[in-house]
Amino acid sequence: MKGIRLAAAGTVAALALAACGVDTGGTGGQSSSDARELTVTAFAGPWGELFKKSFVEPFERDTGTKVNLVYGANAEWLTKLRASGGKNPPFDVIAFTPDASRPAVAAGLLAPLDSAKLTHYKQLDPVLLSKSSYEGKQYGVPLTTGSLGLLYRTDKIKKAPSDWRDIFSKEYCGHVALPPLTYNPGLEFFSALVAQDGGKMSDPAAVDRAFKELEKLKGCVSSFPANAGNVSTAIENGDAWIIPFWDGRAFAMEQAGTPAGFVYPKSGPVGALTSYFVTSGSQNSELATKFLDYLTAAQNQKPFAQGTWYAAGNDSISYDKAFEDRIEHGPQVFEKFNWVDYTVATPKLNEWQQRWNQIFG
Amino acid sequence: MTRATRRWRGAGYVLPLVVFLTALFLVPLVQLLRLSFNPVDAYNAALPGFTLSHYGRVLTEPYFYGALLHTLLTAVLVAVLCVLLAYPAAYLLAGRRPGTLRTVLFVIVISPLLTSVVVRTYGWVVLLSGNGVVNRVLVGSGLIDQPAQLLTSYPAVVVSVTHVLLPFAIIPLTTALGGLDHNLHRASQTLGAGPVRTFLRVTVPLSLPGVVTGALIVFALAMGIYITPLLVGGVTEPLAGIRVYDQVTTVFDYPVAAALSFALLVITLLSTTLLGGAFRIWERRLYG
Amino acid sequence: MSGAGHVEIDDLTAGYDGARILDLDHLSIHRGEFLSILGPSGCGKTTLLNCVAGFVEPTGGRIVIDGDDVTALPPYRRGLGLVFQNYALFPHMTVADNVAYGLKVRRLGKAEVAERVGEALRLVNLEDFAGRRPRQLSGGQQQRVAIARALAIRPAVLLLDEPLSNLDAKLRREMRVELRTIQRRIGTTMVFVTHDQEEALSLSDRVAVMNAGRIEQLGTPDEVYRRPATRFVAQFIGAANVLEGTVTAAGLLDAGGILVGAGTLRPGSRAVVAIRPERIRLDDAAAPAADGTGAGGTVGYRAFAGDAWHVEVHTASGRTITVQVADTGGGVADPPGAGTAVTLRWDPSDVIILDRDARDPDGDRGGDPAQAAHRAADRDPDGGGP
Repeated sequence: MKGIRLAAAGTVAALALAACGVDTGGTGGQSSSDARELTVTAFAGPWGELFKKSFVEPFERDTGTKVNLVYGANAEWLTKLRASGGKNPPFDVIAFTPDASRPAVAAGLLAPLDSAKLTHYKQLDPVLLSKSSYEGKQYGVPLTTGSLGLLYRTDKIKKAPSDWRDIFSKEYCGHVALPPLTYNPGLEFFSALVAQDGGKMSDPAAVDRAFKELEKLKGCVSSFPANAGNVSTAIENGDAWIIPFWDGRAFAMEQAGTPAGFVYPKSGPVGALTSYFVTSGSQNSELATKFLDYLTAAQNQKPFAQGTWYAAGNDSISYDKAFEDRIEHGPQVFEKFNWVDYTVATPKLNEWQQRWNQIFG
Repeated sequence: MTRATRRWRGAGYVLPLVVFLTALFLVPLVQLLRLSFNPVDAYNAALPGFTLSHYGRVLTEPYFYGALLHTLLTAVLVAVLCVLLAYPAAYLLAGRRPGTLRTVLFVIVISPLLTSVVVRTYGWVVLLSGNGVVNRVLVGSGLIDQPAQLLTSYPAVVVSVTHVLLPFAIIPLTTALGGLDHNLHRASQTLGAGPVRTFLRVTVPLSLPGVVTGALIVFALAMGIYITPLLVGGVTEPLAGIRVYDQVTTVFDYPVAAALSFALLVITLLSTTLLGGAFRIWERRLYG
Repeated sequence: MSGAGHVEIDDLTAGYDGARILDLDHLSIHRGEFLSILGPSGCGKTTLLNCVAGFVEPTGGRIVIDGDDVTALPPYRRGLGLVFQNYALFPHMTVADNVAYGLKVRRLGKAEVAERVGEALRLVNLEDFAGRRPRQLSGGQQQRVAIARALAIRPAVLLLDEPLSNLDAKLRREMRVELRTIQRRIGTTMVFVTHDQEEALSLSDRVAVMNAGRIEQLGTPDEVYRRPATRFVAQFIGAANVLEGTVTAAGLLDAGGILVGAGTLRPGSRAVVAIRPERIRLDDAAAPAADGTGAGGTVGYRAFAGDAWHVEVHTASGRTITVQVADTGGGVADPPGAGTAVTLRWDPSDVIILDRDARDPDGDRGGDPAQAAHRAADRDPDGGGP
């Protein structure tokens, strides 16, 4: 009995450990430069597969370098990077969304870029570039950006919504899906609510107003999806008719046959950017910089952008008509975007999620 | 001297296990404990130093202590449900002679453990979603006119967690019931007690050790479970395990995650020890 | 017998898939008697007990207790007491609660329960242990509690399933006496299942010897010992030397060179006889008697068993005869060691005739069980011998 209890306690601790994912050893990082190996991260799933085809394969073909692709997501890469403490990092090139790149830069885990060394730097979108620039230094190059707007079921909602506030419409009550603040679209939507009347996240009064607005959804939400899979399930099953979500995912869903539509809200969609960074202390920084050239080249970004339905970071691309018809892009568009201020949001996230839970929990 | 030597030779047999547990369990656990005392910078990265502030937050912010409380209640509920559901199954299993049928029944019983968590959980998603099997039956039969919100609901979390933890209650219960002296039932019957009375007066009290063991295991596992409730109930489900997951994956605040994990661990250890200890005292008094 | 018809068992069969474990013609248990069911393991004695108790459903036949057919009744409606080999006391109850269990089931008043618990515990001399738990008692004490528990409900019959087998030899003998004393005092009918012949002989009013699902012989202890009805009974009880052969013109049985005088045997017929080991004496090697009261042989093996010597003697014809020589103390009568030539001697009156005029010249070992059972029944109008 005692043994069983110990074992049980051990299992609990192990689960807690698994949740925290402590990892002290660097994996995959290759230090030897003449081995010509490069470790690059990519988001798991079809995104990662297309990434491999669009960028990794041409790079390997041309340079003879072997690229070790590490599939996963922000959190685990940041964990490993933090564990390495900026010395002999487990990755050379890393993908981050701004919520993860901000703390990583703050901890000195990412290396500033020398823009002179980047062949396509001039073609990159200045607005998107600015989103991976901190304290006057450029750290990342933009790969693609999604736009958060309203995804809705075209068969259930006849009159397309036009702006964020339409989600509060009584007609949709009981059929709204709302991602929590701890899932990116949730925070992005919240940011849009804060920005509605020109508010800023750093202004507590504006945040209070946004929460007040959120309260209108109380009792109307049918699902709280916390990952892309949950969102697809909720929309495809008809559990939800409308949800703040990204354009790329919406159009991909439409292509797959779901009666899904997407609108860019009049008051401005919210940007969801993916940038690539070189890690501090990488032994292959030169090779890594060269990889960023492949990553930002128009001919490589075009198929990737069209495949994911996300606008690319290189502004010089001429897209196919189907893409051009649906996706809004370019510096003027991105300029109007609402961008989440992670410098404010990240430290406040727990507190806000608690308030959010008091409304919906 | 020789006695001591012999004792240490015995210890040699468990040395591999001790090394294994120390390296892969104890050391990370200590590191995690240390992490829970580290202060953080503005972006929640751990800094060297010592602070109790994370434990302070865990114990004062309803987001965290509410989750611990909710987890505790859920674990108790799941443990009770598991024991109630496991008892008849274990009774059936224990009463069968070893053979093909018993083996088949046993495999069915432990099948939740043989299925990957993803497959098992998506099974529940298929069953419980808006146009899932359950809703289609309910709407089709006219019991309700709108599909009910089954997924991402608390009952769905309780049901799915009970499902996966059920084997941990069935196995010790089967052992306890199988170990009962059959002659005790016969003795009870010859003394005039019918099956129901025999069950209540003899079987149930004597199977209590199995009940307690099963309940404790299920309770301890339910305290730490997070993948199944996360996939079925969603990240808004206020369970401590999900809160830990949240802190790590979206807030990137490992020290708070570690502090919450340890708070959870301490609560689990305390409650299982208290419960187990109380039962042992009671047992000693009962059997003399 | 005044209690005839107390328990009547007729044509009782039990078993499964054609394998008959039990096949009983008739058994009548008298009121107030102590009946032992004796037999080797697998002979069906436990199945018989379980049929009576209600735990085994017979495939045929009926069991009548005090005029009521109980064959179809569940165990808890039969009002019988059962004592198990492993005591089967409820470990989570005190001694008093164990004894009170059957009384509380019967919804007796508190005072009456207490009175009858006290009475039952007094009967087994355990009044002072009422508050103890079974685990705090010795094996013998536990078994006495089990007996008290079974008797407290005042059962029509008390069934005992090898109740003494888990006790050590000394305690077993003491418990035997105690059990018999209790039975005499309260007069409850007891059916005692055992494989221990000594237990059965010393305790019982009557002994039923079972083999292969049938009763081979039913009689008083001295009958089954002195006048075993079949070869099986003779060999199972007391391990008799069984000899068979053809009767000579002189009326002696010629069992492969050993001549045995056995009263009136018809010359030319086949016969089977038995001689108890303790009824054979060992003499010095002298001229082997040809009058049927002795035979020559060589000691093959001897062993001291405390109260007696066990000796195996090989005869010239290659047979092994077992002899038991009582120890006299002082070693005067010690049998000679291995290899010594000896003469075996016996009285014709000690020769037990198991079968005469056997038709099968090969002599079937033990005989047909059905026939044997009939013979046993024939000889049994309440204990009469052949």
